[in-house]
Amino acid sequence: MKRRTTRLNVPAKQARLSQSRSVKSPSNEVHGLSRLKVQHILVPTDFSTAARRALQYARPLAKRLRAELVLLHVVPPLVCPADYGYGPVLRRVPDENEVRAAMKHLRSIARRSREPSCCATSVVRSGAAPEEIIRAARCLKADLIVMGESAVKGSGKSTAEITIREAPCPVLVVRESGAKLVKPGKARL
Amino acid sequence: MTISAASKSEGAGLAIVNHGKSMSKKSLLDHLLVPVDFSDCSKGALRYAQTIAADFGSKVTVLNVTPLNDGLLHLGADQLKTLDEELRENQRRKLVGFVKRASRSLEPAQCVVRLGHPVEEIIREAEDIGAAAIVISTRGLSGIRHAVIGSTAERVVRHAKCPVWVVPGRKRL
Repeated sequence: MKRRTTRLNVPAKQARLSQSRSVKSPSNEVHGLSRLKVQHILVPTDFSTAARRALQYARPLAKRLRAELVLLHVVPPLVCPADYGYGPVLRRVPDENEVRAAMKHLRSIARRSREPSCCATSVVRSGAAPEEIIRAARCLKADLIVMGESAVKGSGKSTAEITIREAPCPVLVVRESGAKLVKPGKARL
Repeated sequence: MTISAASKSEGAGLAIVNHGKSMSKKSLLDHLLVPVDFSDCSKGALRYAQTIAADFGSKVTVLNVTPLNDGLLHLGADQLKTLDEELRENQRRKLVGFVKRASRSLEPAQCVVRLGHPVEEIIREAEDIGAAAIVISTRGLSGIRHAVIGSTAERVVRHAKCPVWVVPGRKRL
């Protein structure tokens, strides 16, 4: 419901903005360069510090590019064993309470935005984080994903790393803090 | 209601036009580092970076990292130095040609060649020039090839201090 209203609103807004855009573009047209076309910026968040950094980064970016921010949170589903008569299966059900709480949290974050010109919509999905982020990006036709990545822990792949491999659009990864420069591979000559 | 909203947004648009280069724009992305490996994917990344640069008025530095060949170790130290210089000069010429062919803008991009381990050198260069962001492409390898070769972009994301803009290699930009 929420998303549908968003998608309907966007073309009208873009049309309005295109007038002011055409005023500014000539300086770039000289070089035969097109402007960066970014209409939707998807910001997946898990409410961590890294995600907050990503949002801080995405806000001025969205304002400059006149793009719409879409906040996304992915809730892990409830898994319950079930049997429908053809052997045991695992049912994955969206956790309604969690979804509602996440939606509330996202809305409060979206409202906290200082500039009223940069509007943010909130989307909550249920499932595995990287897949749902990519699905949401496809669904929204997002032009950019801005996501945070917390410090490296162990050798497992982080959500950001899985997302950049599969994402249909460019991904901007913002670090929580400066990672130490560790030797990433074999020694040099 | 709608009219007031429209005039409001137009007003905001005009304000941005009048200010030109605003503060947030300047501080956000003033210097981009684009590591390239002369592939089509990195050509896409370079073009993407130049679009960003045109939008944000940022400087672009193009970097190529050439891995050193261990097989040359049996040569003497002074010969090694001249070989390094020769390799650097060759790669530099190749890089300038690549940038000239790939880029659509007239804005000059600074070309830098480094010898050594790609991920390490990319991160070191980003720190040296104080890059606001790294724009890098992924090859788009999948399955077992990805597992074996691994992705430079992924490791750059993991170790870089600045934000990393990862451009998918498969998509033509």
